[in-house]
Amino acid sequence: MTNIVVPDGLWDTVTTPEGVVINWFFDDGASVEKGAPLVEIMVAKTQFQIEAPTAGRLTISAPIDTPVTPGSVLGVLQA
Amino acid sequence: VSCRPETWTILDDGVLDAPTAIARDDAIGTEVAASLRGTTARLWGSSRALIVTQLERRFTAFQAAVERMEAQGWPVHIRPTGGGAFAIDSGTLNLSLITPRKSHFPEPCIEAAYGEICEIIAVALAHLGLRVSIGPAPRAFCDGRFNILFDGKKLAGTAQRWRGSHDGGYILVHAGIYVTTEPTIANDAVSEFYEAAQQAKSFDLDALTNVAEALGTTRSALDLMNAARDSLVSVLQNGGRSWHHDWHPTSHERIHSPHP
Repeated sequence: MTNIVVPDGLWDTVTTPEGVVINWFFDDGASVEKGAPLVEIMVAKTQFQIEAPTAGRLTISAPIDTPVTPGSVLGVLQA
Repeated sequence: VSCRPETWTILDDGVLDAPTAIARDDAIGTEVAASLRGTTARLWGSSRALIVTQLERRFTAFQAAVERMEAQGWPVHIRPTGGGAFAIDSGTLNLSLITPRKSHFPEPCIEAAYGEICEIIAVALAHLGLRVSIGPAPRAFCDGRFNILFDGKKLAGTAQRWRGSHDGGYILVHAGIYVTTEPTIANDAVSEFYEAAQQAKSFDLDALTNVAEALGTTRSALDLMNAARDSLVSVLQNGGRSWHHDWHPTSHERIHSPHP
């Protein structure tokens, strides 16, 4: 099982406390391939895309509009 | 943070329709990510349009707002960067910096990427005789921490898109610079869009300005646009470097002197 994580230190949380999930490219339960665009967050006027770190079945834990910070787990991929 | 390339490949796309102009950034980004093209600085203009983000697209009344604005000559297009609705027209000079994620900015550095584009623009405007600062303009539309300000008024806005992975993606840092775009017209258009979308947002006209107004110049719009383009190209050809060796991207409200 591999976590889908907002990269640590992606932005300065002192000045911008949190971002938000704005888009999932797959539904919960979908099978995705490694490297596929998975999810986008928006923070500090930046749209940031996160790719699948590995192949697997997707479980979303942070649906659209969920506030996130660096290190937040957005979901998991089960091989 | 030192994250500048030694050289930028500079593209001047002239004036395009907004959807084509926006799509070009992604096409170039894909080539940059695949190492088919070097780090690229792209100058472009656009016909009149409201460019909005994924957040605005999700408004319940988004389609109604689109139809209302289009009926008034403001086509609405979705851009892949963050922020809010932003009005552009032939008086807006756009700068897109497109770099591979792998080799340019050390990750993570959203703030460093903003710092770079702001510095380039600030130096270019200094060459035109404008002293600007970097910071928020809370009463202006599409606000953020990294606006270009003149006398506290927003003169340019910035936004980013990070696409793909560290090993095969690209970073787009975009700035829309109001050279001769009329603040009144832009502010009215954005305000009306949000009203039509049934969103309670209010913006202050006094929070906006443009290069012509800031300079108090009588130069023609075309002459000023060409001067702004030439100044940006000159700075970019120098690697985006300035004489401000103590610059730090988080130094908000730093004044850029036109003199070394």
